Amino acid sequence: MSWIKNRSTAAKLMTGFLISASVSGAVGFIGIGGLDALDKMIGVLYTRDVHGALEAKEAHGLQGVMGRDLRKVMLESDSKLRPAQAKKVEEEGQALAASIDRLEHDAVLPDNKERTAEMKKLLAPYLVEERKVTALAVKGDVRGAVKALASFKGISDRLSALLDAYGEEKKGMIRQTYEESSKLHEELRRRLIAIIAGGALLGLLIGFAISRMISRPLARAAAALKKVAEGDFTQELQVDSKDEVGQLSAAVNDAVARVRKTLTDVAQVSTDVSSASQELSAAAQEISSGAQEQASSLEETAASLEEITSTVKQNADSAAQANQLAGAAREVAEQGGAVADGAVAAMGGITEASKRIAEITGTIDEIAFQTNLLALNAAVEAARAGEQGRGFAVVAAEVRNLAQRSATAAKEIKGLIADTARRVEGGSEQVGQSGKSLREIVTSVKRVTDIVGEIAAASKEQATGIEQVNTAVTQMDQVTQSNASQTEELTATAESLAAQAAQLQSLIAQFKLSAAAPTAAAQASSAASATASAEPAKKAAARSKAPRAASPASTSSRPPLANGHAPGADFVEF
Amino acid sequence: MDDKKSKGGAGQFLTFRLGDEEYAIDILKVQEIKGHTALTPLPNTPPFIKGVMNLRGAIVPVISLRERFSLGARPYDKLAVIIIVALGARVVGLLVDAVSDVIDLAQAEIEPAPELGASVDTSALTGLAKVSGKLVALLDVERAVGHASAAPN
Repeated sequence: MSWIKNRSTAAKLMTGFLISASVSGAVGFIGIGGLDALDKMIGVLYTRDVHGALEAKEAHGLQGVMGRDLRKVMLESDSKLRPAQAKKVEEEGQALAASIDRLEHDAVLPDNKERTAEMKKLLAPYLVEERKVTALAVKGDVRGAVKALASFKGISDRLSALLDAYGEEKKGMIRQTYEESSKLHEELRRRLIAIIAGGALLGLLIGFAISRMISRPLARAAAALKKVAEGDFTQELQVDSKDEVGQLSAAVNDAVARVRKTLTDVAQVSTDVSSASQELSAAAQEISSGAQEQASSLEETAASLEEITSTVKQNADSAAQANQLAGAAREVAEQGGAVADGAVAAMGGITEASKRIAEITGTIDEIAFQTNLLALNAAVEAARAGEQGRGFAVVAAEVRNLAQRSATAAKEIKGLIADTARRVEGGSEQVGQSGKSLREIVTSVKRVTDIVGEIAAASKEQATGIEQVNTAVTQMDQVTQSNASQTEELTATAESLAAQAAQLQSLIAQFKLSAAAPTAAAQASSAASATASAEPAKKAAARSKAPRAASPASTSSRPPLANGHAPGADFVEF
Repeated sequence: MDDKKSKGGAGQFLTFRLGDEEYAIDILKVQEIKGHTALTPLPNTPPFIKGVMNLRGAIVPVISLRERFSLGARPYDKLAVIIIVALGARVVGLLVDAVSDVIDLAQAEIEPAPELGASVDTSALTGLAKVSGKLVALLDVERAVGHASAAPN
């Protein structure tokens, strides 16, 4: 059974029709065989039996005609006519002989053959007697003819009896043949009925089996497809054969699974779109509030910019004043530098003079030292001189004293001069430093002048920059306004998107996609209906906002968009 | 004169400085005081013999008393002087840091040199005197120089 199950539908149908065709072939074959047999029987019936019976009848008739014509010859008064009539009788005798030959030919059964043999035996005396009678009758000897006729009549009666028997036998044979043919017909009919009945039954069984094999899966597929048409995509057909119907079931399964997956994906996507549109709506509202904040910030910025402008102008004025002051400071510093240079030169002179004083004091010191040595030598000489040298010693001591005092004075001068030189050095160093500092001040003041000039230039640039910033802020203000209106449009778009997503979800909810799906679908549909009921109000609100948003959008927002400065262009694209 | 020349005797003294300390020698031993001049060093002599000088044609050896008394070498400045002393026939120059004064000392002002033990040679030191709050060491020139002349031998 599984073998036939896995054949193709065409093969199944061909198998069924082959069996039916072979049954009808068998019926035809047997019927044709029976018909042939019947035809043969009828042929035999005709050629042998009917023909024989008719021939016997004809021969019997010929005998009767011959006897009548013979009597006609006898009864003919006109002698001239008698030979012609006798000749006719003779001819009729020959025809009878031929008919009897034919009967012999048709004889099949031994009885028939016996009868024909007897007929042939009787035919010769019969014809002899007949000729005797005719010869006598032609001569006109009626008495002799009547006498001869008696013997003729005896033979004729025996021949007639034989012919009758022959005919009866043939009739019996016809009946027998008919009965045989009836029997054959009966037999044939029974067999044909049996074969036809069996074939019909077999055909019915096979047809039922094949139709069941084909129609049941088809019915299942039809039922499943009907459920699919009602939106139930959980259907799965059982595939238990490999024929076209099995392939059809598998294909239906694939198609349903494909559509189910697609619809599941669509449901997921619609959920995603719904949440995304909600996020989008929230984001749009945030952007809207952000745009409002931005607008207020921009106003503050514009105010701040005005303050900055005045500050920058003040800055420029201050820079100019600072430039003048720096020039004055520079002149003063240059004068100071010249004074310091003069002081340095004076200090140098003082140092030079101090050095010379130091040299002079050195000389004085040297002289004092030498004087001291001389005085000491004098003291030594005085000591050697003893009492005579006492006064000299006193003078020497005085000289030493003076020398020491001058040395001390020289030392003091030297110290003072050294101190002075040191101080002058320190002073000149300081003056030099102050001169250096003044020069540095001059360079610094130059740099300050340069920097102040740069500051003034920078202030100018700042002023122009602030003007540009002001322009930009104005543009930003316009852009922000257009942003706000576009954000409102975006909100409306997001809301309509959410509504469409909800509609999509409700559409998807009509389909049963999994065993757990119905509840989710129900929720989705209820949610969809809820959002759908909520949508009109939002839409109405959006519509009421729309004209307000549209007018600035049409007038103010377009030029910035055309310039390509608007960051809101993205949203417009979206 | 001879009494005054006795050991530790009173009389006139020439004081000089070696480092921060004041020393004194008998003025009668002093022949002359010269400023510090260039010296001609002699080979193969002790380090305290700084060389010889030409004193009006006479060759006079010059001894650095500072180094003689092991007070350490030090460059001599322009205050340094050479005291020419006559020891009998010998004339020797004493290189000192500076000459200070000519003082008169009475016997009472002179204290004997303290005994420091046999291992310390204090033979050149004849006594100590207090002059205006400062201690002045009195030196025996012969011994100081004599040791010096004896030392190379």
